[in-house]
Amino acid sequence: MPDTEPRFAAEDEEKLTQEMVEPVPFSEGISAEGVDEGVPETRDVTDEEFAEFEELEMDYAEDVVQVSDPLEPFNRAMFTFNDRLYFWALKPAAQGYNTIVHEKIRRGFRNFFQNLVFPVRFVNNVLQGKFHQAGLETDRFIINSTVGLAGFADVASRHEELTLPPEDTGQTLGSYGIGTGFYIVWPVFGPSTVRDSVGMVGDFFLNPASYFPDSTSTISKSFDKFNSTSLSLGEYESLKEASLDPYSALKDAYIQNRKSLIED
Amino acid sequence: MIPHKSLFTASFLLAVVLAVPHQVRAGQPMEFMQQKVKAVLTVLAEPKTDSGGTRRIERLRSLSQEIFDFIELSRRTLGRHWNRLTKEQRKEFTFLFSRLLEKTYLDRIQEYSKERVEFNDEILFTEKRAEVKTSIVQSSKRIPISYRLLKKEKGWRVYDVQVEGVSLVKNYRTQFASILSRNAPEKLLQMMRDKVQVGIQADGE
Repeated sequence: MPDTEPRFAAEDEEKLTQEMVEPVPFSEGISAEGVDEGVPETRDVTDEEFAEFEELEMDYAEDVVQVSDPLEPFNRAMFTFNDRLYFWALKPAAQGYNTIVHEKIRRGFRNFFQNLVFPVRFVNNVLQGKFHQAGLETDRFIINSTVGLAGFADVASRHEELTLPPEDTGQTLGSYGIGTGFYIVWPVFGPSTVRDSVGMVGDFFLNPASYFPDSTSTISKSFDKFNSTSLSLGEYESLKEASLDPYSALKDAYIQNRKSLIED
Repeated sequence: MIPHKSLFTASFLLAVVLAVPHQVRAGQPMEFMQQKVKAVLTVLAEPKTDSGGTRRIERLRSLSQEIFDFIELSRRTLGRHWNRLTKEQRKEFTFLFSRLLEKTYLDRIQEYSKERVEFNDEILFTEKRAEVKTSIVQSSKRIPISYRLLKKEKGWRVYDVQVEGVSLVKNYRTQFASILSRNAPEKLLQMMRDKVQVGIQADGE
């Protein structure tokens, strides 16, 4: 649309095109002037700049959570197993499923299962002393179970305060100050840590689907997982595509994400 | 136990109260992000015609140059390893890294184009360093995305993005550090060249 045009001055457009469009040669690809800013040795760095650089470095140095990986060979093998499972079985099946079942219906199923695991979120909010959030989760469950037709429609999410960050047992343990333990990649379930694996056991007992009779329990949980996968095709691919070492990238993303969920 | 009915009412009242300050608090960094995100969404909303397709990429590229400080991003990501690279290698690294990010994020952002972006908060750490918290609202899901910005001569520039609590810089930092702890910088550059090259081929269908 033409209304964005005035934001680029003519010389900017030219300069930017020069910088980015030609992939080779590299030396011409990026103006030397620009890179010089980032090269401390080529000019005097002010104390202020140095302090800023150090501050940011500290920020990252502190924040990088060190989670040990003594099982790395096993974990890498499991990573490969899960990767193949995804590309060879889960993804083609989900693609077929997507052509048959409309996205709205698949979203409905996902909402249904999310609503069903309300006890996991409620109990863990309470265990973390988040009573207000526990109350909001209850409101959400009541609204979605009734107006939302047994949870198929997530009507509560129309209200901003009723879309809450998910809570689980692993987060509760983390909020109690229990360390992550080492990193584990489970077949099928994927990335985890010792703490989060213990958390998964807690979540199992809090999940109503675990109490369904006989095989219906496993079937409904597998269907939930499959259905969720069908709604997030492409996410794993882009993570893999963007990384130089997909195993480390996924491990780090998992650890960072869990950490942020515990801190919220 | 507090009765549910009162909680229910309270939550709605809370929504009204919360809705107001979110729009009021918009300083420089947030205004910058609002303007840039809007520009990106405008480009994404344009039809993907064949001739327009390349123009679209170019415009997104020039926008990304206005949004991100790729040199800062590269330095942060390499951390202390940055010093091991020669000036030429730094140039190449900055270029390849920006291409790698572009390749991934252009794909991702195109999927998000239908969704609504909310600007939730702005934190000023110092006069020159800020965080802008946004979220992408999908049906029944909010994806929190926050931008870390530094004020440069040219204005505010993004040096890190956090998606669902996962910092881009930290994620790459871990990968680059493990590669550079065992290999020379040239090896990392070679891996990145291969990666970006694969992407270019895949894009030019």
